[in-house]
Amino acid sequence: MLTTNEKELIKKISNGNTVAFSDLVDGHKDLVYTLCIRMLGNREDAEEVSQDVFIKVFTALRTFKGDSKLSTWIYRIAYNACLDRLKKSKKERMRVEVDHLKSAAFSVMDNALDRMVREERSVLINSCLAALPAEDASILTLFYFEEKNLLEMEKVLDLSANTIKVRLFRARKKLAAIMENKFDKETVGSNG
Amino acid sequence: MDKHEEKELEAFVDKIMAEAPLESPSADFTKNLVQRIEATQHKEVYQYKPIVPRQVLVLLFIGLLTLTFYLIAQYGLESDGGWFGNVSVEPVFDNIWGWLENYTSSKILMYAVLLFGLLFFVQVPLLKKQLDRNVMLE
Repeated sequence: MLTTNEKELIKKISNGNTVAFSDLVDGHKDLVYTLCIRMLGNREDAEEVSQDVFIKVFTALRTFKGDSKLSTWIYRIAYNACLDRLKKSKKERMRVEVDHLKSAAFSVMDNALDRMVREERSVLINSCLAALPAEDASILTLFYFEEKNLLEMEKVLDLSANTIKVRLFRARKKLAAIMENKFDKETVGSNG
Repeated sequence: MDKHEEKELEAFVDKIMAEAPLESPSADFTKNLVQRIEATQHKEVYQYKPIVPRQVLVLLFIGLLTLTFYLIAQYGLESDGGWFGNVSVEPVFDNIWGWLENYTSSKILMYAVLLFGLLFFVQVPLLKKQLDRNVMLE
């Protein structure tokens, strides 16, 4: 499952080669940091947890057996580290009400999204993702990091594919509900 | 929510997530991380590790004890019954120090040796001070 390059990299890092380790960090830091920031909701915590994640990767790399992709293994460490941090801080982000979600609103929202300037859209999307509870944010983020591969996600989350599907559906609904809320306040408000 | 709407929702979220920008940590993220790791590695390097492994030391200790008890059992504790009971060391020392018996030295030589000793002890604090200064400079 590992590429020859990855095997070589792991061997070098296990021998204490910090240059090889920098390469590994540079290749994965944005993904790990994004997952952390979406789960934890603030930059300082995300940076700190990401550092801890990579230190754990460095020390535990020798025990990595290669039964999943290297990136999957790193996401798993990051996901668990974020869960630990959330447990410690006991911060619960807002609950999202999905009952009122108007089911026909996606195309309207889609159009509204198209009208926005790219940068503005990134900011809006980020703020919606930030409003998602950690569990939903992580499952959506990982789904796209893993290129929609449920088998790899099973390894990260330690859940069955079916449970992941159900949670994904719930997360999508919540994200749409948050977005709808935003549109009601901003775009729709300014148009009307 | 029916199947069609579910598909629509999925497509919509696909689009959002495709546009969701990847966040980047601070610029010196990797540098800080490598520094942290190198710091822990150095700690490991300087950690005290005995040159002779513990097992060898234990074996040596047990061997020495057995040998001691074996010797005691074999030869007993009396001093005259031991290994060196019949060895006489006096002729050896006679050869080395015998010449001192007839040796006499002049007063001048005695004073010279005394003065040399005195100056030696004067030098000690001076040298120490200089060495301390050099070490501090490094």
